[in-house]
Amino acid sequence: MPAITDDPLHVSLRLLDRRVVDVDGEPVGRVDDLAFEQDADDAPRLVSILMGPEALGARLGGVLGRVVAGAGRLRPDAAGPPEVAVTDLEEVDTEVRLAAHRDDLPFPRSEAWVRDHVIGRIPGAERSSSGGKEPGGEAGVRQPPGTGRGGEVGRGPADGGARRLRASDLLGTPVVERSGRRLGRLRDLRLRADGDVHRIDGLVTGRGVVAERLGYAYGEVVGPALLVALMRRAERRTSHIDWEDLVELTADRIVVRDGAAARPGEGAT
Amino acid sequence: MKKLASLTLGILTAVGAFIDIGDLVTDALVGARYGLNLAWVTLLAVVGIAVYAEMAGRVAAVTGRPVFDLVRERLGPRIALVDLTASFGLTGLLLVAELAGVALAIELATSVSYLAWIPLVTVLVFVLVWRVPFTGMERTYGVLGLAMLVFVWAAVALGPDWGALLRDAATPNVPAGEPVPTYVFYAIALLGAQMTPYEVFFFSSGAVEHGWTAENFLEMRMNVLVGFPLGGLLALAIQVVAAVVFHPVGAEAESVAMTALPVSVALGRVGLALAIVGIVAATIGATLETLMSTGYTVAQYFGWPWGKFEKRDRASRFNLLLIVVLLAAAGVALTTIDPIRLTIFAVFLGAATLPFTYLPVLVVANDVRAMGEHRNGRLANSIGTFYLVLLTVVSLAAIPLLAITTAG
Repeated sequence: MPAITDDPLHVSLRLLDRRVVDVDGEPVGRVDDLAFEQDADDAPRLVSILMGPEALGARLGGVLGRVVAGAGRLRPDAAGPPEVAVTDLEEVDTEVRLAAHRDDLPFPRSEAWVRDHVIGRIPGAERSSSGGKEPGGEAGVRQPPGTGRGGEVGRGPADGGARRLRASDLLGTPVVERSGRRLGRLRDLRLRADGDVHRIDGLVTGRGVVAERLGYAYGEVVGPALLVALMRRAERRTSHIDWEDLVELTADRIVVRDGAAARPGEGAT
Repeated sequence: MKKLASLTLGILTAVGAFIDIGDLVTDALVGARYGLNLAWVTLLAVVGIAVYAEMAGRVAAVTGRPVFDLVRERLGPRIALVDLTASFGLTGLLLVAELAGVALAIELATSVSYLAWIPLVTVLVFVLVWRVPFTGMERTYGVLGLAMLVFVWAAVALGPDWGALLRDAATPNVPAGEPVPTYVFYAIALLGAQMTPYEVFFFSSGAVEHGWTAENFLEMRMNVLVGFPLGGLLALAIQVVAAVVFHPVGAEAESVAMTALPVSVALGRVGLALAIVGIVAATIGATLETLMSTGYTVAQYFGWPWGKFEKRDRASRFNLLLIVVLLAAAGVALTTIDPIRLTIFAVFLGAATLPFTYLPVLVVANDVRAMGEHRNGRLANSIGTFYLVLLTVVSLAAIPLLAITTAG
């Protein structure tokens, strides 16, 4: 069964910043960023979730983001943030569950470092005794395919021709129509199932995206009345743009076809 | 006894929040200065914190996710980071004050300067966090904190004119000659102290540490319904004894000693001894609560494993953070910074952050997908909305007011 059952799936509500737990439900991190790959003219498809400060730094942006990301790169063998391929996710619901056990994951490495060098040396810090499993000990053997450190996985098909994008590259980028009309910054991505994969199907812009983020836009959050009313108003200030209407995608801006922005109730989903 | 033991999370949370060093002094201060004209704030706070603690406890029981988890999830990384910085900073300041507060209470009993006690208190807190399991910690300080009931006893023994006190409480007004902005300042400081965010951080994380699920709703609600009203009762008792002893003579109360004085007036040495035991236990409880809360917020924001139930080497970053925060707080406390002014300032500013903490709780408590049949009913939503609006107004008013009144 595929882990992602939502169709469409809005990444800000459903994936980004959600808690990531291992197969037993123990926390291992948060979804700090998402990686997409784009082959030729297809819409980018979701390949993996990224975790850790390096990924988070890119989401935060600015000086602070660089500081946070820098902290994540302190590891001597850093090769990008910890990454788990979508195919190795067990379930994506109110949190993201991995198919692997936390002891078999090569991350979070700072947890292991602090354990080995600081906490484990203070008298009274009992070692874990969960079935004689040495944390991380068998990582090399039992590590499920595709859950390795960043760089090893999520590279997609070995043909190497795919363009790699991160959610943080896209989110926050100004969206303009070809005529120059500004549609605000990109706030959310809508994914649709396409066979086994999920591809970006639409862009959401505008200030009303708080309603999406909080969960009001799709009827998941149903109260209290005051917030529902406020969020309904906010929703009117969002624009939905189909991926097909995209003209140009650069680091500084996203250009879309004139008249591509549909408000809710104007025909777009 | 078993029943009592199962209520100690609520009692520790509430006693640690309503009777921490800031409240101890602020309650006596407002009692001395305003009589019972600010008692309504405590009633308002008890209802508000009880409703939000129940909501946060319910969400934690159903989804396994405590409050700061929700803050990050629903507010996104940036706003959540601002909230984290504010909450962590303020809770850290309160931790400094609590450490100094425990030491001040011991000074009261021993006449040895509190500065000498701070290192010892720090070691004690470290041992408690490091060696004592969550339930043991909770029980010891929840139950010892009940010694604070001596304030209620003292209030009765003083034999005040209850009719006049009730009239003051029911028809609050600003006493003649008192500036209105200062009255409002203390109202917000009290509300901020009694609805401080670390209560929901601690209570919801504690609910997860207890492994509560939807089957434990009754236990969780009993904790809320016993704990917070008890905290409110103790706060009111301190206001009453201060109002009776100090208000008529116009004395000011701005120290731990002044808070305990009415008890010794009413009950003599035994009363004073009980009061000191209660104050030490309550401030140690508050120290643990604030310390754990700083760790909970950071760990939950970043998605680290956390908690006392985790094996230490499973939550190593969380435990390291607790140690660093504790040592830093002890260092700041040793600078002889005035813990009372510090805490009034911190809870007042804390009031400004309240909407950010409570909004995600209210939202997720209404999430059909996350909560299913356990989502908020109409009552929780009505009261929750009222408090969200109130706290937003308070939040907007807080900073200008601080400038006008220069903190009381």
